[in-house]
Amino acid sequence: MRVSADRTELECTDTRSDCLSGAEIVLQCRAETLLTPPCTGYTIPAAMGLHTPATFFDKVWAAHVIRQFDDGVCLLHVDRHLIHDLEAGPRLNDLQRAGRNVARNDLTFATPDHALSSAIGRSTDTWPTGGRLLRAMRRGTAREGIRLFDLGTPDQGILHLVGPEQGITLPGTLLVCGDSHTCTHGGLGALAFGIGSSEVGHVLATQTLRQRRPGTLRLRFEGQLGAGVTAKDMILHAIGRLGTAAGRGHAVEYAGSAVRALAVDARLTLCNLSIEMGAKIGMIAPDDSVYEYLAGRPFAPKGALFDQALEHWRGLPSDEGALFDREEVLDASQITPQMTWGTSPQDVVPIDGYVPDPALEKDAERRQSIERALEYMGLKPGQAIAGTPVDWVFIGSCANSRLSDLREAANVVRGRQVARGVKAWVVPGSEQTRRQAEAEGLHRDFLAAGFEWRSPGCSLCVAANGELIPPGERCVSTANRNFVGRQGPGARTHLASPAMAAAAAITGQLTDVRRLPGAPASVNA
Amino acid sequence: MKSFVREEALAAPLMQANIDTDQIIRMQRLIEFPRGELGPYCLEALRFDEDGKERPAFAPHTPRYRGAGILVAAENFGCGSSREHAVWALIDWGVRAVIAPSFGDIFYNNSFQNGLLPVRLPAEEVTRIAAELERADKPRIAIDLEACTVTTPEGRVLRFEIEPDRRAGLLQGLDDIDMTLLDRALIEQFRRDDERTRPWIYRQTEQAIMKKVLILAGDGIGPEIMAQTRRVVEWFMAHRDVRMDLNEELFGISAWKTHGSLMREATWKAINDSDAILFGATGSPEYAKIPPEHNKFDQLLRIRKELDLFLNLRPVRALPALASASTLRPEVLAGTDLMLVRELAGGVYFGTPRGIETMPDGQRRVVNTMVYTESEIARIARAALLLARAREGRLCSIDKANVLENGVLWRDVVERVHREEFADVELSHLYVDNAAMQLVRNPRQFDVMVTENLFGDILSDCAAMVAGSIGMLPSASMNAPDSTRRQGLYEPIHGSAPDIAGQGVANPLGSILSFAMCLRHSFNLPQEAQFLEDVVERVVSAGIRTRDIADAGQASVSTVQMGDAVMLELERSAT
Repeated sequence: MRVSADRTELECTDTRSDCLSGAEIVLQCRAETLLTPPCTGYTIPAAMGLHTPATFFDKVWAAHVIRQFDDGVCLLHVDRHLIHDLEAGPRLNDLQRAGRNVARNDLTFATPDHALSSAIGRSTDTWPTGGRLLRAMRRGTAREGIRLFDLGTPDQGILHLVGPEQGITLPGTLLVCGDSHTCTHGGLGALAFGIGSSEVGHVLATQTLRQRRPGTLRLRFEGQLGAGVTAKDMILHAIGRLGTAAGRGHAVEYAGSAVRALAVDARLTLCNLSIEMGAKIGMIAPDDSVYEYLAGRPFAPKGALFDQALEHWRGLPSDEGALFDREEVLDASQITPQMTWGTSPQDVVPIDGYVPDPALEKDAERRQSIERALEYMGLKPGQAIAGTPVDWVFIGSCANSRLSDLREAANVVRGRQVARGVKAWVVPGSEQTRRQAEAEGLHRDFLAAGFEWRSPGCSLCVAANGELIPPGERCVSTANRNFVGRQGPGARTHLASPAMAAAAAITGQLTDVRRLPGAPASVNA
Repeated sequence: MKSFVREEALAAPLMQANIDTDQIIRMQRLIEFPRGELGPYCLEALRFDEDGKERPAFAPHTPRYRGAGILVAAENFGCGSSREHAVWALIDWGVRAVIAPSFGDIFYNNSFQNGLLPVRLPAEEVTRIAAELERADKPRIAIDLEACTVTTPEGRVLRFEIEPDRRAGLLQGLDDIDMTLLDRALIEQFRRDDERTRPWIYRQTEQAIMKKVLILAGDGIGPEIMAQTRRVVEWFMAHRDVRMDLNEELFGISAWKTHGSLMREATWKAINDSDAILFGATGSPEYAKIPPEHNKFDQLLRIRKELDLFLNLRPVRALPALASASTLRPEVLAGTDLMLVRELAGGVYFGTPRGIETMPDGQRRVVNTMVYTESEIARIARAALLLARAREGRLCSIDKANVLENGVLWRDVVERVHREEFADVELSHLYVDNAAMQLVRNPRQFDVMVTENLFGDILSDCAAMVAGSIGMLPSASMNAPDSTRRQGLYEPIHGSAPDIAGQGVANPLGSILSFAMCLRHSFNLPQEAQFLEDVVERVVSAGIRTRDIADAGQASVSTVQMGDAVMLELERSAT
């Protein structure tokens, strides 16, 4: 529900004279940034004396500007660089060929996840293409002294789980990775975004990045979520309402009482799908739950250094009255369990809703797009989404493969059986998550129900590892993309929360999890 | 990256709109061929028919345009996927510039990263140029990036627009990375400031950053070579980002003479506290004069055992400059780059029972015991397999399984660890006698070799001949990492050489190269390690030799002079 779109018009001419640092950054004029590219406006010093009130994003961005170029592009310091198996070997080899070295191996972390088999008992060559990449990754990271959480070690996993788990991801850090779902780390208060291959090379060689400052968008979820409704439903609902282009050119700050009430795992899920809303960056201001989460993690600061960091972190949230280029408010209490019906994350309806009828669509382009999506998905115009039979269920991916996700799914599955004819997989996102889940016995719930309990990696989300949904088969997936062919040529993907995916597995059809025992309880705001 | 200032070249028209990056280079080709070899597949589908024959209609293949360095194309050239390979393929095919009304955004950006100039001109001008090419005697075009002009075959001079920073980069042959590195000083200043404001970004604890390094020069030539190594260590502390807490303790005969103890408490504590030990040498006839109650153990063996330094790494590389110092033929040595992994905390060196006893018949009898547990074998196998994985992926395990049960168990455990955890590594086995022969027959066949303590001792001396002199060989000995640190001891392979001790002629390079290993393994600074290794290689290549590596009749330098040469080369290379 779109309550307000609070666009603030402001002339920004205030050049701060008490500028202490030589390096100044220029924030673009806040006015009219909704659709136009940023222009130069008022000037603020980079490290100190940030123009107040400032947004969370402003503060973190400003702390990383090394210099600003005439064309408005900034040279930013990268605090954390994560590299995965598709990029590591090739980019490190490029670097070597160019006679260059990795600038900061201590700020670079690697783990294989994309091109990895998730089979139990897998090894390097279980998926041969991935094996070649992994070999190159091992050689390159060893050559450069980069920390590798390798296959077969206790800390391997999807990068977007490993970063938070290891305490590599910290509030206020600028974190990048050659993967668009890097926005996930914003859940811990990092300024995190995906970068392209050449940019990966640039960061490896310089530990910096050239980047144009995006605008800011605050997306507030106010009110209390209902029972059976999760962070995944919040973000799918938002994408459905606002569209996949809503965040383009913007850094999104998620705020509001419903966001504050989310646990850290759920915040990571919320931020994970920012890119599906068009925003490279999604972030949530850190609070005590984040600090508690981080304390004691291997790469998080320790002792007095942690206290010093904490003091800094507490100053990061947006100041009272800080101005955003754009603001949206959604009523959390109205959100219901979501299910996508089409081939874009914005093609989403409540589970008790109906697939759109293109005949009712006035816009010709939109009508054709709905027709194409329905044909690909094998759905009829206007049909109820619930009750559609499914062939596959995939619980995994950087969107929803954390311990809390597995618990939510296990609660629905426990004591029941996967419906006949349905293939159901659980792929925990990391070895650490897998161990924790096994310690709680969750794997037994899944195995007893007829799920496969597999090894950590991207698996069926990305289909770059030999794991595919066969053409024409229908899969409920907890991942973040339902594009044409994403899970394999002709595969039909419905995105949903882990609890909803579990409900589909045991009923054999798209089902409202709220009708089943074990649905997630309401999160108190 | 190649710069672009002014190019005058044959130009070919390719007037087809929307040539996308998939057409420029197919996905399959970029998996099959590396950068530099993509030229034959550039624009493949346009150039060749299904049978691989040239299409006569493809203008750049006609005799008048063949070998063109400039393409004149229609709008939206290089649209589609972001693959940088499209630019590489064009460059590999010999193209230096493309003139078109418009380009795909990412292709346009990628061009500047690789030295290809994309020139944007109005569509009608591009069409006119194409027409001029058709009718010109010599279809040549000149592009001047300094003046931002294109001179057409008919001599018309057209101005084009280009982003100033893009132009500057291409003129100087600098890509984005080079451009950013021009700001290196600014970046370093930022980082120094930032490290004060946000130290937790760069380290986890307040102290962790200072590594404790201890120098133990020891006996014989140890003090002479270690004095030179210390100069190098201090140079890195002063000039590079290598921060350490450096200490030195007396060890061996000098400790005995000064403290009346071979290992006083303070030294032992310093050893236990250190992250890295730079060790010189041990061994002297004078040990025989020390009363037995003060000389119960070999102190170096004690350090190895107490710190549990089970993993001994001995890299062996054949330096072309030293080929003549070896008795092996240069063509046998050339290209050798192997790592010998020796188990250092077990086997016959430590096994009991041991000793010489007199039997009832008066004759003496000696016993030594070669002992290994499964876990001892498994951990060294794991370390060697891990190392192989990061290198060429080949491990050769050495044993004597045809005679000794020790070898039977060794082979069994190595195979189990390989099967269960490292199936991707290529594993082979050799008997130690054969391994010794193979090392001198064809050392190039090896990537990583792993063996038990005694065999490793023997084989590493054998491998020394591959490097030219035992004086050149470094080693690292490490324990298993715990949660906070992994201790390492770095020492040259050669011993204390009492015969030349005190003469100032010993070769310090094995010790200096051991410090390079320390930079790599204890400091995780492989680039600094490589830098030092390259410096040493240049010194040796320049013909500066100590006696052990000098050619017959060649003048040799002293230990100190070799140290001077390394210091000079460090200074020269750093600027």
